Amino acid sequence: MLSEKDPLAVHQASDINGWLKKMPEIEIMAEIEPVFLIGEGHQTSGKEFWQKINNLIQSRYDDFMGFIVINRVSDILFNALAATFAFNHLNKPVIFTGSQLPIVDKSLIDIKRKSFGGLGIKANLINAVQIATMDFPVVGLMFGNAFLRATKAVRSAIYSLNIFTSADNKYLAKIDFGISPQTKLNRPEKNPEFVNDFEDKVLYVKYQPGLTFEDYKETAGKVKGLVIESLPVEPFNAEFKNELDRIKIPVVVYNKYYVPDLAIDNVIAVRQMTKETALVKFMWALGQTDDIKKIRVIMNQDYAGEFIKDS
Amino acid sequence: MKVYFYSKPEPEKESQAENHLKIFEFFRENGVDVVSNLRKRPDDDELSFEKMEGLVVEGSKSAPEAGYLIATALSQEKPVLYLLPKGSIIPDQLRLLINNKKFKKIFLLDFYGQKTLNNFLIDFIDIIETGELRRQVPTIKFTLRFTPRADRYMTWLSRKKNISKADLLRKMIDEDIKNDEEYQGHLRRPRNEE
Repeated sequence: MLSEKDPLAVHQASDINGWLKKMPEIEIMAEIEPVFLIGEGHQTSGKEFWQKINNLIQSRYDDFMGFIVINRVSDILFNALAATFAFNHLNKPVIFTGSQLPIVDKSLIDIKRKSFGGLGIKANLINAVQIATMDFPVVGLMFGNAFLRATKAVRSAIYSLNIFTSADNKYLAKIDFGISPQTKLNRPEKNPEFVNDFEDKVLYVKYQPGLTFEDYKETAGKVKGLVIESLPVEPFNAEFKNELDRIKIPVVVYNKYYVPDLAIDNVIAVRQMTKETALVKFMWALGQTDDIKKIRVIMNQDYAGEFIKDS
Repeated sequence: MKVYFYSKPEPEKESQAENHLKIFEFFRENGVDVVSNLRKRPDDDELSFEKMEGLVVEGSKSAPEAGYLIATALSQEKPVLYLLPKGSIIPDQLRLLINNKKFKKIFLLDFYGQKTLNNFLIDFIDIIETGELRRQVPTIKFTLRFTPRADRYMTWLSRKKNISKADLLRKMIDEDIKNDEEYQGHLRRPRNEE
């Protein structure tokens, strides 16, 4: 999370204490138990990693008021979405945060870190710790001055204090002189239902006018599910539609605004959702069943406020 | 100058409300703009903590928000004045800050009475304006006589620690003040004359 120049980047478990000692402010807010998951420079995405994070939270669920996952920003949204669906009816906060400035372009980071007054991690972490002690039974992202649902998050900037915005402009909390809740959430009394299976053999295709299905036919035969990001209203041409009718795997036809029901047995129209949410939710549904009827029910059910009602 | 003043109000405690009033009055008289959870002004919504130059917490009633604000202020390297009425006990989590070298210059914790409240507020403004507490700059002169043995020891230790003998003595006394629980208890004791 810290720059390569900083000797306290977390590469192994023994680095954590030194890293936290750099931020003694955190200790006055809550009792924190740090857990090492993976070191800087390693892969922090994919099905196995999602399951690892979720299992770790599940194994300690009853022992803590809330959980914070510090993660590289490029993967954070997908990781948070996987936690969202794995913990159905969550009754504690699970907050994903990190530094707004990942190590990609060092010269640009040096400029930005001056205007940010640092890498942003400390402020994000302080806000996340405070949120973890509050009544937010949800998986959310904490960056800059906003806390929002992972299911509503859209990456809106590369280097900025607020790198995620909410797809429906609704936030869980805003940060000003404290954490100001913006949305009232009901806390379920029981612990969440934990379903941590995902299918990662999924092909994602963005349809453009003139695209034929021929290019994807071979790959589509090897995967368990297909997501096609379509055009709104008239999602694709008749030929493309006929091809979809012939393949036997579950297909999600997705558009953020509108997709008509296509009356094809293996095709599920998904709309009013962010594309990242649609993809991870579909992977989660496929992890539970290959029955298209059940997948359709899952995709149409609201699990974590994922439907964007005002778009 | 803008400071944020936080306190968790206890409506049944009149003395607390009086102290809050004194704090607001002091800052008004000294031209300090105060943003506070106790007095919301319509324009304050446009502000954020980043625009503040310091934080004052009146901590007679503990609140989790105070910990959050202190952490935020310190992370932005802004001075914090934590005021406790005489006779109060220091919250455990704040002991960590008192003993932290990094925050020594910007985190002040003081036990106040009616007569001393303004002095602490003056100190706080001093820190915001100058970056250090001028009252704690050594100004009182002593002439001391030591035995040659004591002098040899101080010479040896000051060389080892690479500081002057005067700084060495000042440091030893500061450490004693900090660790003397009886004296700390004496400082916290409410005085009838206040």
